[in-house]
Amino acid sequence: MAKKTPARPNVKVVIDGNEISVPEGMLVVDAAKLIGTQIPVYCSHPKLDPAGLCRICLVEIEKMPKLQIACATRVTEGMVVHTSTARVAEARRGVLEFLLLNHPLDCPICDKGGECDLQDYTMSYGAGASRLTEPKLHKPKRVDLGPTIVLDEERCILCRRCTRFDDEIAQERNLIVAERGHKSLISTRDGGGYRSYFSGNTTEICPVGALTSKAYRFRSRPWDLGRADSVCTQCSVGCNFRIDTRFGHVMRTFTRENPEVDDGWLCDRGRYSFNYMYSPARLRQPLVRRDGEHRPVSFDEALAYAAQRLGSAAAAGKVGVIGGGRLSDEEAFALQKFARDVLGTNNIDYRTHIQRFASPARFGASLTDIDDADLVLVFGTFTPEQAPVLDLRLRRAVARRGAKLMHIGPYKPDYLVAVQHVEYPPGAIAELMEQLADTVHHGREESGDGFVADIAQQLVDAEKIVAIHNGRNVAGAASLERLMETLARYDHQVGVLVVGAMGNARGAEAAGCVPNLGPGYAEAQGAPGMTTTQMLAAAASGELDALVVVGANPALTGADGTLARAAFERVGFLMAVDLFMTETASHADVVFAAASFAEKQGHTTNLEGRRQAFAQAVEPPVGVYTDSQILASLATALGKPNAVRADADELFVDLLAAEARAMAMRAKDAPLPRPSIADAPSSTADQVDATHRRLMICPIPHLYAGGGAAAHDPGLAEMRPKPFAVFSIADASRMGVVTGERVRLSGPGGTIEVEACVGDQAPVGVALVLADMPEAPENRLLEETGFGWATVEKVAQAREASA
Amino acid sequence: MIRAVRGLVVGMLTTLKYLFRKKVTIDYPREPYPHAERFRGVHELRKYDDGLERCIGCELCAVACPANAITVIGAENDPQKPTSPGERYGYRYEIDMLRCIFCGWCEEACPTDAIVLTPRFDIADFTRERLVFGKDKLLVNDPFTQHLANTESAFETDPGVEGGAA
Repeated sequence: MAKKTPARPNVKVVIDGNEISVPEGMLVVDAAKLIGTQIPVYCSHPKLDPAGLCRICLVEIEKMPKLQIACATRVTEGMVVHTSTARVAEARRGVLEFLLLNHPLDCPICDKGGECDLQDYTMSYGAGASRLTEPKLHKPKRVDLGPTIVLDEERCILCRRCTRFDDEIAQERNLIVAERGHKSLISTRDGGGYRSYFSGNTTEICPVGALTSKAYRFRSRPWDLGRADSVCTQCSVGCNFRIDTRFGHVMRTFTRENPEVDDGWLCDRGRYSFNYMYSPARLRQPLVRRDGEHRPVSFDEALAYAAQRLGSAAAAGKVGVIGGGRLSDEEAFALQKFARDVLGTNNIDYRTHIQRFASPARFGASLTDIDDADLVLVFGTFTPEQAPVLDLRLRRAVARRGAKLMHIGPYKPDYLVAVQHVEYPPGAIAELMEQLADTVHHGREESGDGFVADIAQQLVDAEKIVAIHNGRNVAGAASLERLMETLARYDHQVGVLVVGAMGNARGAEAAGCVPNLGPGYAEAQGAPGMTTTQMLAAAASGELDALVVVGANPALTGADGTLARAAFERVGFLMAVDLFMTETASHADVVFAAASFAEKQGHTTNLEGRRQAFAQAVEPPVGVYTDSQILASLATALGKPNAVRADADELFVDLLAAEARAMAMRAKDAPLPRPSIADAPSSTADQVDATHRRLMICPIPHLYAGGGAAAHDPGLAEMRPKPFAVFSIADASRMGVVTGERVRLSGPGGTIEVEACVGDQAPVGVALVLADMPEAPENRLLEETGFGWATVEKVAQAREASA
Repeated sequence: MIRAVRGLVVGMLTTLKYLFRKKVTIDYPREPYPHAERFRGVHELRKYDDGLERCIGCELCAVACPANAITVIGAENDPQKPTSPGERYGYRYEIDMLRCIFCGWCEEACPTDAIVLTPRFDIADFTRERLVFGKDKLLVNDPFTQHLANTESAFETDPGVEGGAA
């Protein structure tokens, strides 16, 4: 890349008598790390720009009359640095005395106590006693900064790591230092709460105990904690984190930096969703429906009942299995093995959202490709809500490096950074991609459409292009591949990322939870199986006798919720494995209680295809088993004791072997085969309405939306949105709807009540409806295409009409 | 013979001498045994005069304990009805008396002088469970040790000045 700055020449510096050669312009504090010398820092953070605020990092540099701050001084040729002279020690003592002047020294009750930089450096470099004889300055100790964070103003040393994080990394610019001098305090720009998807990171980078998280407040001390290296499974980014436990309970999660995946950050959904494990609503024993009511039964009893009903359905070949995207790789492998080897069917599908495939068949990109991309093309997905930590890279690339972000879609999403929005009907993306490919290929002159030529010119100007989409539009993805291929032919670097609807969508696909493909994308043997939609349609029409749903909730998240509900009501036998009584499990005849991600070990595959291991942090509650244990027991009860293994390690070995076999069979460099899809009938609804109250429904994601665990997590309760719909200003004024009003959306599959919002994100004729909310399931209004049509009424009017 | 009689008399004289002295034995269970003031016996969690608990749930006693006999779980005070001064209090405080070696390190580690070892030592019981002392058994205001207590409440204390560190 021409724009990349050339590698800097190395310079020789001497630090504490050790001569090293480092790139010119490196910070002294980083150069010292290379020889193993730790210079104390508070304001300096490797991911943040140098600020030079706290002065603890003062070092002596020869030929400079005064001490210099190591965190903001860059090395030059022949620089001689001393980090442990008497002058330096004296300066550190002074800085620490100054920092501690008004510090409350309430270490015994401070959550940071034991892992606090201020404690550590005071022990190492501090004076031991304060010369202050006047009473200390007292400040508010329990300042509510937002739904997740508490600020202790007395403890704050004003290093501004948090405000700089909000400024430079999250790009939200809401946290500020208000007031001046000794009155300085951390506050928000708008004076309201600090509401950010990344707020938890500030508690972690805070070098003292000023910012603490409400979820962990006074629950434990750092030395009590047992630690397990885990991977977040809430979205498909797969951030690495550590689960800290005490007395067999998860106390908190902590970043475990992986520069290639999470870059050391976590989003609040990933960080704070673990309390659902201790929710009273969690299933702790199997349930069997008798006389229309779910009754708790023993595991063996549930097993025997499920085996009997599944056995007869399997013998008739009328059984289907749905799920896999929320399981580990091993369990997804066990699930497809259970479907194929025990139930003898290829009716297995992980796709319970609008997603249809999880891997870019070609041009797979890695997350770090976003860092130096010149143009990022997004369609179908909204990364701040669906892959927040990926979005941090995007924000940084756009705001700090000037990369272009282009969004193609039916509505204008609220990106924090500059975005070029191309309003385009979702069904026509394939067409647009084809036009772009042609234009790129033939040159600008031949193109007819103005804006297509404009986009094509931007593509041609960019050297590295990353496309991010949601794996919904198969034709669009194929055309995108053609565009990428064309660009690659003209020496552009290209890459594609598919943001999964579920944490392990890609792992489930690779493990073979699709009708036409086995583990490792090998062609499945036997009769072709049905996709989720086909299974649901078959169950609704009585063609399937039994459905097994494992770790999935199609009744809430499926594109066609009406079909899913009809299927679950009609089907002869429905077995569900879940943590909570979800919208799907409530229809089930047998519900097995499953272990959560912290209660089992395994692997999970993120959206890049990176397989990461996660360790077991705590034991599951008594009587709760992992999905693979349940499937293995069920296989035994069905008379195939060795078909499915229960042990995660053994399953992993089998999965690797199956993948190796599949890889050996496939031709080298061949694109990965795509999972089969059901042909969706295109919308036939008449789109013109005399009253102008009929709008296109477009579901929009939210980080804290979702049923099951997300709905039952007390830690997320305050952040959870209320169901809403966004109308364009034109539509709203025509219908007389104002922001905050309750409106009723009625579609062919039912009615939901939401709060109206008026904003310019929605184009005229489109209502953006919050997706995946159990109290207002938007999928009642949707068709299999993922879009729908609904009539909008004000709630007050509707009541009058019914009265 | 004379030697034998002499021996008997001398022996009986000793007996006679002690017969009129003050008794060394005490009627133990009915009569308390006077220990040295700094004898290290059963623990006690003390309170301030205003009724607030001294324990802030910091777990420093638990981490100092060489026998791993102490378990503390802290929690946040209700600002309207605080259990202890400040933000944090000891929600659960348990000492396994069977494990405890009565070394007194918890007492030394305690930043608020909440846990003290009293001269009480007779805690024999019939089950192990009853010898895990919780706050119900530990939290008392025994007049015997009250004079050791720092009488002012921590509300008025400036920990920075009192603590003296740094």
